[in-house]
Amino acid sequence: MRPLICTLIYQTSWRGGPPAGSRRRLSGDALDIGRGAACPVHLPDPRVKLLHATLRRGESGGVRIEAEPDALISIDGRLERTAKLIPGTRVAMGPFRLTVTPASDGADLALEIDHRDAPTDMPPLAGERRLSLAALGISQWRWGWILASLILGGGLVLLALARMSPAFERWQSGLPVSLSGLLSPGPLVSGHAVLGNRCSACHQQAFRAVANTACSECHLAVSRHLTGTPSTDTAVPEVGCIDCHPAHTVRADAGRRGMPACVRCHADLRRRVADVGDFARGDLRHPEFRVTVVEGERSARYRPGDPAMPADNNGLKFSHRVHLDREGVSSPDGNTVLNCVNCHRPDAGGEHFAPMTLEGSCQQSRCHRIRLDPPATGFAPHGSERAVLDRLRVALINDPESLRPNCPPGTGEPPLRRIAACAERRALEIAGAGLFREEGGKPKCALCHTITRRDDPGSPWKIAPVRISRDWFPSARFPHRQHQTTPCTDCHDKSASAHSEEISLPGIELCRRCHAGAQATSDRVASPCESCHLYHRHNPTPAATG
Amino acid sequence: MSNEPVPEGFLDHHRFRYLKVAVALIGAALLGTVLQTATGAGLWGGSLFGYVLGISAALIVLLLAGYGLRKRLRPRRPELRRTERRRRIEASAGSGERRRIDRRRVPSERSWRHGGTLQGWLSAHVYLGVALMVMVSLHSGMRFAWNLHSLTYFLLLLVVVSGLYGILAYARYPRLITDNIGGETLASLLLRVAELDELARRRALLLPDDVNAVVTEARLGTRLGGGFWQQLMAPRRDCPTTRAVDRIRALAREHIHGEQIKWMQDLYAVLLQKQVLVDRARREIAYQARMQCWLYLHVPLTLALLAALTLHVLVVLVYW
Repeated sequence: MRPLICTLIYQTSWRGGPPAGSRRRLSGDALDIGRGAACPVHLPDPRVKLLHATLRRGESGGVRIEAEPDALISIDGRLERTAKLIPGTRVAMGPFRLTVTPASDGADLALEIDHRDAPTDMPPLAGERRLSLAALGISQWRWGWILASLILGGGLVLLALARMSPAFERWQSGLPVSLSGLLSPGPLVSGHAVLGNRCSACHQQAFRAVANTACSECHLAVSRHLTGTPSTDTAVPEVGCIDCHPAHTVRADAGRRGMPACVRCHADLRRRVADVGDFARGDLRHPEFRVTVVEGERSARYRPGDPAMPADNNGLKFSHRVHLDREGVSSPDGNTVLNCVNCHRPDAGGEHFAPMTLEGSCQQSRCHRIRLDPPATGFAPHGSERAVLDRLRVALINDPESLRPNCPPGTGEPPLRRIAACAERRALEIAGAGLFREEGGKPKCALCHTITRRDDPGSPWKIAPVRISRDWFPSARFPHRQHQTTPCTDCHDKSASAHSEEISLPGIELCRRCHAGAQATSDRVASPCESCHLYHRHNPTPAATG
Repeated sequence: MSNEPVPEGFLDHHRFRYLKVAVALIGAALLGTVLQTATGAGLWGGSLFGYVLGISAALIVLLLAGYGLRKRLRPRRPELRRTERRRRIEASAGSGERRRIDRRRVPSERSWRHGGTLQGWLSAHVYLGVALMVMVSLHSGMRFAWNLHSLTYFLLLLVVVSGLYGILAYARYPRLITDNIGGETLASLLLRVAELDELARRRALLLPDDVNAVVTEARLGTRLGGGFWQQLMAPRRDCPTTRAVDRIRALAREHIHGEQIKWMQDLYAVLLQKQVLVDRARREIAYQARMQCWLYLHVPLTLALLAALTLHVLVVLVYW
């Protein structure tokens, strides 16, 4: 068989320059195509196999191309294993394009091989165009401006809507996440949660502090701090509700209000307003207590030890010394040892003491029970002179025989009226000689009470009313129940007191043994102003206006 | 041993002038806090001392933000400006006075600019920024909620923390970059990698197909750079070039024989060189990214902070 003669026409270019060509003539029984060095048709590319295909003379004439079993060739766009090559046939192997052209010079085949695609067909290193952060196209400033615009723009819109549109405020307050809350410094205190983040409920005017009038719209019956009008506007500055009652929990003093606001005025109040207690300038120590003593229909306050302080004229004759005798008090039940709490029992609030009564406090061991002489029976009632006399009168009228010696008949009066008149006289005689006797013998009512005569034929004796002071410091609170760990006598040493007029109240130095100021110390508890004092007066008056 | 003085850096600028200022600010803030709490008033932004802290912190924020402007407003050729200023001073002085012109009248190159040197601004920027963290923490009373005010606080913290990272990055990465890349550039590394790729391709042409496949995969699969996180990450463990080196070593033991052994050795050497260069290039990209990434937080968050701070002040005033 005649050997196959093939003319190879190479087309190439260097870096996109003008194409250049070369010719090469091959001959053989079969011409191998591949990247292998032994292949006459050498295609240097890794996508071409070492032996990719072979050119052979066909049995029916012409030239055929046969692909190796594991190699792929494309004939005019179709994958084929073998094909007859005629002028115009296009064969693709890897990146190479082989085109059959009309042969000349006795050649069986002319192949034009285009090298121009092959060298540049391999892609460069992936991702090498993004080798720096700047190459990513991220602008530091653009993102910054976007963020800033969102925050500032959104905030201003929200602020404007919250201030100007009540409808928006109502709408947003019902959302699961309140929009106004984004501007709020923190959650509202629990009592104000009902406002639902409607800021304008309290912040009624922009750039102005919350007015007291806003508070008083809901808090109707809050009394004022000052009962009278300040002497001048500047002497006592107006205190806003929010100075002491923060509405947002973010305030550090939300749970401990009062102290700073109190000191702000009371540090040097005496300099501005005469005759008031104050904290010395530069020394925020509490001044000495002042005891409120009732004198008739008026009361006055005195420092302990003040010689001008009057005795406590409470109308009761009582000796603590006798009743607190450690050996006991003689009683029908024998010697009874009494303690303070036998008479002074804390009331339900724990701050004061329940009122003392004869039955509850003085007759515990059957003491101080005045048995009435016959014909009256039982014990003398307590509480009213007239009640005692009425008891005697009734007993005498019901027992006319007992009146017979002092009530002879024959005066012409009706019997009942005569008996009543006699009982009246006899009752007064009995009361004057015994119950209400002021001097001589063993006193009965006069043992504890001061009895005076008065111009009243029906009840000529007047027992001085007993007015035991319930609160010596009405401007302060002292919960006795919380101080039960301390013996009563530590503050009120009455064991040697023979007269009830003697006042025994502690000074502030005694309190300072356990109580520090606003801040606790290692051995003393914190005691800010509000632990003893109430800002608002007990008697409700309209809230202060601001 | 050289006796030349060590150049002054921004941290020890003017003998730690701004460190002292920052310590004084922190000390004053802590002292005021102690006094405030001692009176029982508690600490929060709306207290008197809270306002003092807040206003001071806001002014410092504006001052520090001015560093960004200051850095960008520097003159292009300061040495010319200095010469020009000296010429003007001398021209305005008489002949007798001209001799008495002290160098102090002509500010040095470092300090002639209005507002001090850029190094001084940077020193203040760093130290006062740290002081700010303490001041605003005390101003906040450490009470936080989902609101604008806490947002402002945390934005400031992020800005300062990102700035502190920047200081650490500038202290750490320049040395690593020098150690890694030496006198070369990333572009030259990439050029050498491309050349080695082409060389490997040519060496593999006469070798079996699986060798060519490995080389092709190493060329096509090896990635440098990429997205934000890819640039920040260290060199990948599953790098195709590394895999190609291992694979070529294994293939050489399996079925390469005869003359191909020499070709395989050549190819192996080329791929090893490429592996080293790719690692260096990756480290260069990572170091550069780590040294610059904080600015992509610092700058945008600073702008956001200024917006939030403005709104914070406005809201406090409106809801006084």
